[in-house]
Amino acid sequence: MKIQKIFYACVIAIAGLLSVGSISSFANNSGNTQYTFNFPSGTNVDYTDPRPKYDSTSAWMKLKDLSGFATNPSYTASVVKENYSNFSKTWYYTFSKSNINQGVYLSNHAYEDNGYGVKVRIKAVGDGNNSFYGSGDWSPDSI
Amino acid sequence: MIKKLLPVVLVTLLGLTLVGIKVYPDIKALIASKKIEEATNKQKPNNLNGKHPVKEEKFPFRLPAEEEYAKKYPNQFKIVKKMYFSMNYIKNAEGEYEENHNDKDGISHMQFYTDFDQRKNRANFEKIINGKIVETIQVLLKDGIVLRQRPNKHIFTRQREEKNDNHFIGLFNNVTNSEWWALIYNNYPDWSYKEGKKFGMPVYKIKGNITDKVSESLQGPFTMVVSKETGALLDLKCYGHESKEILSITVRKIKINQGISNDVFHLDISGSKKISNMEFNISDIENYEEKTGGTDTSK
Repeated sequence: MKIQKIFYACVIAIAGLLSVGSISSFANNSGNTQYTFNFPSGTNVDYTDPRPKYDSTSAWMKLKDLSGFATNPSYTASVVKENYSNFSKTWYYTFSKSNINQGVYLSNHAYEDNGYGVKVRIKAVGDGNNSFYGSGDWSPDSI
Repeated sequence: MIKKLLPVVLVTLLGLTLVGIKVYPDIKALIASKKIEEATNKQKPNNLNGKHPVKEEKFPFRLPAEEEYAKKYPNQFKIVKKMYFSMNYIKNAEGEYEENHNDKDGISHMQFYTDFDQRKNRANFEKIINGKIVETIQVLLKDGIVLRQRPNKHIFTRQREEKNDNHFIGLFNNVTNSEWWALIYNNYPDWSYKEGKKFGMPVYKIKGNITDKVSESLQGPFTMVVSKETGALLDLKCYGHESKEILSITVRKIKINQGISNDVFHLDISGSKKISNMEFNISDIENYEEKTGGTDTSK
């Protein structure tokens, strides 16, 4: 009986910790700017313009519109250097119609690799055969 | 028996579901990363070659409609283009400015001497909170070698400048190649300008309103001053909803294309200990914890 109680307590504690880790905050501290990723037919990679990053927080992106001829358009985003290459570690996030108007935090290794003032872009790889574009707001930092 | 087992099964299922929710994004990301690397064999042409960093010749409109819209406002678009291509007009610059994103983050004070033609940069960054300097970083880029120092921590790092990387030539300088042209792009009816003078230079004095389409976090009234000849950002104030500054860039001094004395390209690192780049970069973060997940893309 005692073992059973300990087992329940452990499972509930782990579950609690995991769910807390999944909660994300909302604010971001460097002003957002608009972006448009355009994927005309035959092109599936696009980038934001570079912006400086001042801390080790996640970048932030909110997709507001997905338009075009693709049936289920989506793109996968990651944080890259100003010169379009990867940092030493990269995290990937897929954006589709289900993410419209959702702020998404993009983990990255920019600050760890290059330090204060590192310029980053968001790279997007479109997943689809027909042309489409996605647009919204982004920021290199978040809280 | 069933009565005893049922709670065990239910709690285990709950645990497994939550583990699944936690792990699923990582598995999904791993699959996505493989797809991406396959799709990105051809990257955008790199425009960062050469000693003096230059940008591509054509303005990168994202959509044909944006290009058509710019044609309707040629004078305003001319200012956007000048800002975007500012590094093409600036051979050397020295200056001092303050950047404030919001009060709790304090003020960033930057000082820079940059010779783009000779690819040399000597710049300082100070973080000031409640009037007190809490962090200082000094940088020197010269002959392809980068020295960065945190004098208050007595540490420094030395590295070779990477090929095709403009990080250090533009470090601590958000004035001569500013990102904030984005605030006046594709929203021409929302702002107006008049010509004037600042720091002895002809300038565009811009005044307008940022809508949520341009930036959700910065929406509200704003003013901006841009050098007419070079596109350098000389002042920016974003006031937000409550008409108090939520972003400001205040240039205190600036000289553009007037040459820079070679004497400034020096950094005294005596008494400081050499550490690795990563140690240096995260040395201002208390109790830094390595970020979990992600794909190793260092090779």
